[in-house]
Amino acid sequence: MSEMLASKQASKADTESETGVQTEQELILLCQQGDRECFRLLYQRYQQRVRSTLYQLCGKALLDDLVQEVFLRVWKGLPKLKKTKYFSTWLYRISWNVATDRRRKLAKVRDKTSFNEQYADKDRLEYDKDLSNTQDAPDLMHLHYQDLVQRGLDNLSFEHRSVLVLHDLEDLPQKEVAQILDIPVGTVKSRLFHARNLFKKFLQQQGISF
Amino acid sequence: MTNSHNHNHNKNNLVTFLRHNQPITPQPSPDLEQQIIDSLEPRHNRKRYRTVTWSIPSAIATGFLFTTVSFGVRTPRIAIEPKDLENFLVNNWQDTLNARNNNVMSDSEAYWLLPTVSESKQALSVSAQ
Repeated sequence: MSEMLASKQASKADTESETGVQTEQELILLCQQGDRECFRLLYQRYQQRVRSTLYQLCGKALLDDLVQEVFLRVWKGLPKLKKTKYFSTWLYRISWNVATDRRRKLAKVRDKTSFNEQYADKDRLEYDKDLSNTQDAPDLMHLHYQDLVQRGLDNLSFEHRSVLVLHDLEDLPQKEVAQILDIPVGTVKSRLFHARNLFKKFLQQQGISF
Repeated sequence: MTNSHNHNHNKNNLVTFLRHNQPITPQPSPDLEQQIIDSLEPRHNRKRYRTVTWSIPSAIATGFLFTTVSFGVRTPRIAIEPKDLENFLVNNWQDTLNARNNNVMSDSEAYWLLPTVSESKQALSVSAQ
């Protein structure tokens, strides 16, 4: 978490020192005019958030491709963005669209059950690989909990997962989540309630209770 | 009150647990940033594009208007009233009578209906012989 904050601050400092750009809106305006270097700064500033969201929604497979797809769509759509102050919401919306498209494509290719099994196996292998790489890490319990959270997210439907990721993990307010997903705030609250309950049940099955 | 308190407490515990233990996002490949920047399509100047886009239909509309107006002016009008037809004949058939001398038939209706001075003198002299 502290690394993330540090990288955000560093990128912000880079933005201000290299180009003299002070505000995010100025940066976006320059990007709208076709300034690639400003777009690079914009990428540096937001890629971690986009990457994290996509990872929580879609997993590790093709993550780089998905991030690239998001930023290419951003570049293409930027000239049409009128209210630059909503850039962040718009960016999350694009990320969510890309994640949805990805899931639809996968659903077309494979039937759901075999996909889930295959994916769970793949994620399990990747997790084991990560675990083997971090054998020296002191807190194995923490890794175990991380695995539980990942599996708990996989266990949720995409609708519930989206709300939980955006609100509880990405720390976005309910109103913004509603704008990103294009649903009423009441629906966000309802989905969040159900998603948390389902998650709690999953954790209880794994021996963790609150 | 107690239930609500417990609910919020559980919710906060769950959210804290999720945030604390969310899976660490894998690092991007080192060349991803440059790859994205290289993949960006060149941006067209929208104002210039708009100007060009608007100039084409404007030119077509202007040409159409000009053609319509000029064609309308040159289109022969049909005389419906006998008076109009008479005026048309008076104004347009003079050249067919005397193609050699255009100056004779230039001014008024009364002028061309009368024989010219030189022609009348010739006619008189012939009759005298």
